[in-house]
Amino acid sequence: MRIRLAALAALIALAAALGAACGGGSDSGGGGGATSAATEAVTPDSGASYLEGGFPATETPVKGGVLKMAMTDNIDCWSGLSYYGVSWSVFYFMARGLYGYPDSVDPASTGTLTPDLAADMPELSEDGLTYTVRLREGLTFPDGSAVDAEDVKATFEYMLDPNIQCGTGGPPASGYYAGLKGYADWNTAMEESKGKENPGIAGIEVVDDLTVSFTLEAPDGAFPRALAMGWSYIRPSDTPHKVLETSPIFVGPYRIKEYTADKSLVIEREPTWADNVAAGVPEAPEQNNIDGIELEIGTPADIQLAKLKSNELDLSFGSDAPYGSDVPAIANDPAYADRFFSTADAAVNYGTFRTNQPPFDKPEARQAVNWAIDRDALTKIAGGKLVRSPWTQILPPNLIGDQPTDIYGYDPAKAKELVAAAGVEGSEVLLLHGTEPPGPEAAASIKENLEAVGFTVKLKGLSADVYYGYLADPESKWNLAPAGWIQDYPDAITFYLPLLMCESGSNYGAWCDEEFDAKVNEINALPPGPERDAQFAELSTQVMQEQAPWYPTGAPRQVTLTSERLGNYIWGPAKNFYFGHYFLREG
Amino acid sequence: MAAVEQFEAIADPAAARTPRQLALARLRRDRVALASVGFIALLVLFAAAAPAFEAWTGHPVNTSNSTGIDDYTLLPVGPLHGCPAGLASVGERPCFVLGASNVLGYDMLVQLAYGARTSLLIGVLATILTTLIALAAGLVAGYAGGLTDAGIARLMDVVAAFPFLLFAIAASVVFGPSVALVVIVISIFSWFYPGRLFRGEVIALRHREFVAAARMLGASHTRIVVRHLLPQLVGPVIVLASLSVAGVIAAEAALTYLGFGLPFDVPSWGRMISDAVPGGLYRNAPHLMVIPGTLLVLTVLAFNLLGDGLRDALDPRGAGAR
Repeated sequence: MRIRLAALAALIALAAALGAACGGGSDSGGGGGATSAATEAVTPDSGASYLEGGFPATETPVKGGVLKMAMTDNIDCWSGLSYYGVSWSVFYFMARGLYGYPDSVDPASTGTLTPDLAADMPELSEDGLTYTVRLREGLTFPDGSAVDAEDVKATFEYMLDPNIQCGTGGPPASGYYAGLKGYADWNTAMEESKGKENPGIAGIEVVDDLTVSFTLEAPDGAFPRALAMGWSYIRPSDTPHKVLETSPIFVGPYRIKEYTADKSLVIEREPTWADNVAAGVPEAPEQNNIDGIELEIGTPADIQLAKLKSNELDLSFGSDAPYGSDVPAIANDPAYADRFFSTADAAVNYGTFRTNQPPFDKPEARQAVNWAIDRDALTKIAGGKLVRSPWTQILPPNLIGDQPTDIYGYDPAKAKELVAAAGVEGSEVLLLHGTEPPGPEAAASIKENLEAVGFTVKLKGLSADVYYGYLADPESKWNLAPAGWIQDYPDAITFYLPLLMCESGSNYGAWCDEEFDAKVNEINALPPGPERDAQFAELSTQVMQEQAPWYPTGAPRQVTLTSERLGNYIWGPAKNFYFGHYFLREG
Repeated sequence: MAAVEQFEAIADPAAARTPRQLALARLRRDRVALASVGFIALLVLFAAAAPAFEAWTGHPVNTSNSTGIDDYTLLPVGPLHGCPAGLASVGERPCFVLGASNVLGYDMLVQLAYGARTSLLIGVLATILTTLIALAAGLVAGYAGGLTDAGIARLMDVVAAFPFLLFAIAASVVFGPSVALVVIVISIFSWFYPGRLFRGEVIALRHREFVAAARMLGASHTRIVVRHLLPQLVGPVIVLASLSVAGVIAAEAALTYLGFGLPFDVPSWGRMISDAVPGGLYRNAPHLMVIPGTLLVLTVLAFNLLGDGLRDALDPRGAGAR
């Protein structure tokens, strides 16, 4: 699960959830899937219609210039092991892994996996368990050493080493690799020896100098996407397993020039990059236009907004500004018409029920909540439709399109009937919420909705630093709790696997249905593509209608104000900021 | 005091007045203090009328109103939004006399009135608790002297040195925000100051003749403290309590503003001010901060000025004596 900074505040707040997010963009496998349009720009003076439109037509870029951006709060680390989505966008820009995503948010290509350091797409064995990847020949790290299969194997063991993580709780996205043969034993050995003895992950084998294979315990059609996550760029095999302030060296067009903790990060071009382009690593002529990035860390949101307006900044990297009431204010100001964007994310705000305790052990009670909640009101509280859209499905609309949007509406009468049918009238329930706005406001709105249909609701506010710990504690007392999730990579499994299966690490409500798990595993064996997406979408609709393990509330959107000089701005959930596509007009 | 009383007696030889009468007379001549009393009386009436405001506006407290949010800007509406001329029939249409107070469209007038109740309730409760603790500590320490005095005095030093805000935040995180917690936390960290003053007064009083006389007549320690020393502290108690209410109201607002005071469903001026901060709401809808902020400032100012007036009235030796 990728964490997104603005989402952190917005999600926890809001549906009150935190921006616990998973990474990724939209669907589909090697070439296309059911991704819906992600690119909507704003025509600020057109009221409700200002969501129409798209990013401006691509201009012919000019090379040069340093992009300036800022963030309010630093991420947990810049070692390349962070789960923060914004750091992934920077590493997607600087570094290359086996596979990546094109610098495009065209729905037809945004989720398309493309070979980067790999020579081709992986070969899948007949039993569907082994992916074999061949590296391009002639690749080199900046120190001149060759990139080989040992580096690939070592990279994944470095990423997943539980002893060197910058966040708490171990490697944050390890669930997507847990299906590798021998992973569990390796992880235990690494934990017990504190990393001193690395027996190697049995499922990652070096076949020859340039070939490596990944063998799984069970088929996982989306596994190649786990090889393309923002933190899975290739490091040298001799990288020491220790906590680092900045990333080890890597193959890529840029590098970190200077990092001052909690103050600034400077990125510049990597002088040896041309050698790897010559070896075949793809780089389009209109790609990688800027000479570098200067990131200010610790700049308050209000100051960021002022600097964006005056073109002293090109982007708010943490998506800290604009925020709240400034969003419609800027959207309604013609002065920013050409540089204000609201873009669909592949994320969902939802609430989770404690399903192993009354009254929400009954599906009717959970369905009643879904009918009782006024999602339009929650959308207004969150900042309006520029900030998020009302939503009732598990999978966000920008992950898989063509999902029914009307499975729940605002119908208090129907909710009352279901409350009566479940025999839970008057039940006292505890609704958790984040203490950062608009968490309390959203909770107050939901409380009004639920009390109108027969529940008695008490509120409990928790600060962001303890919220998810409290939620995960089986002894803690709550019945409903808002949360949020962003895709880790463009596939529905990044919602089902971490959130809704019996053993899911973030299944806070303890909802468990073995038939559902079996169905997820069955669909997960399918390769990426329309069939896989359709089945996952159908499952989302079915489980929400019949079981309602959640009360989804909205699908968040990315809001961005750019400088006037920033050209070819696009944003999408696969890589977030597409720095490689941008250019600076003043050159 | 003796000289002043002599002067008063000469000025009005027909009526020899008690110290209380003299104090009231001085207070009546203090226009600032009287204005403060008037403001506080209006505030109490305003708080008492909160249910009437609900009925008048048709907007119950802590209830969202979609009409309180502008559909286009999504901002809470401003004062007099949707109101008929002369406010003749406020309850018959979505009228917001002082505007809406947050993104839920809560009615500012209703929330302010209930917030006044909260502020006054917490101000009074915390002041009573603070005063009781301070009196107990000051009387015991001042009268007993010796190790008891030293122990209580050091405790006062420790409490004074303790970082109030950190403790308040930690307590809020551990126990969850509530009215009781705010009252207790503020009291725990406020009693040392009046306690020191009371201790000093008692130390000065305990060797006075009336105490020695009571002791010689066989009065118990408890009787001496309760019947002879405690009444001597009434003046300082009144002054400090008035000042304390102001401090408590400001502290509650500050804690709630920081998110560590009252829960969201308890109307509070601090909450209303904090609601105006995220996302630059105060820039786009300044009434959200200006109205509750002004009321908070005026209230704190009124209690402070009243406290000053009471001090001048009860202690004419002070520099501000008139």
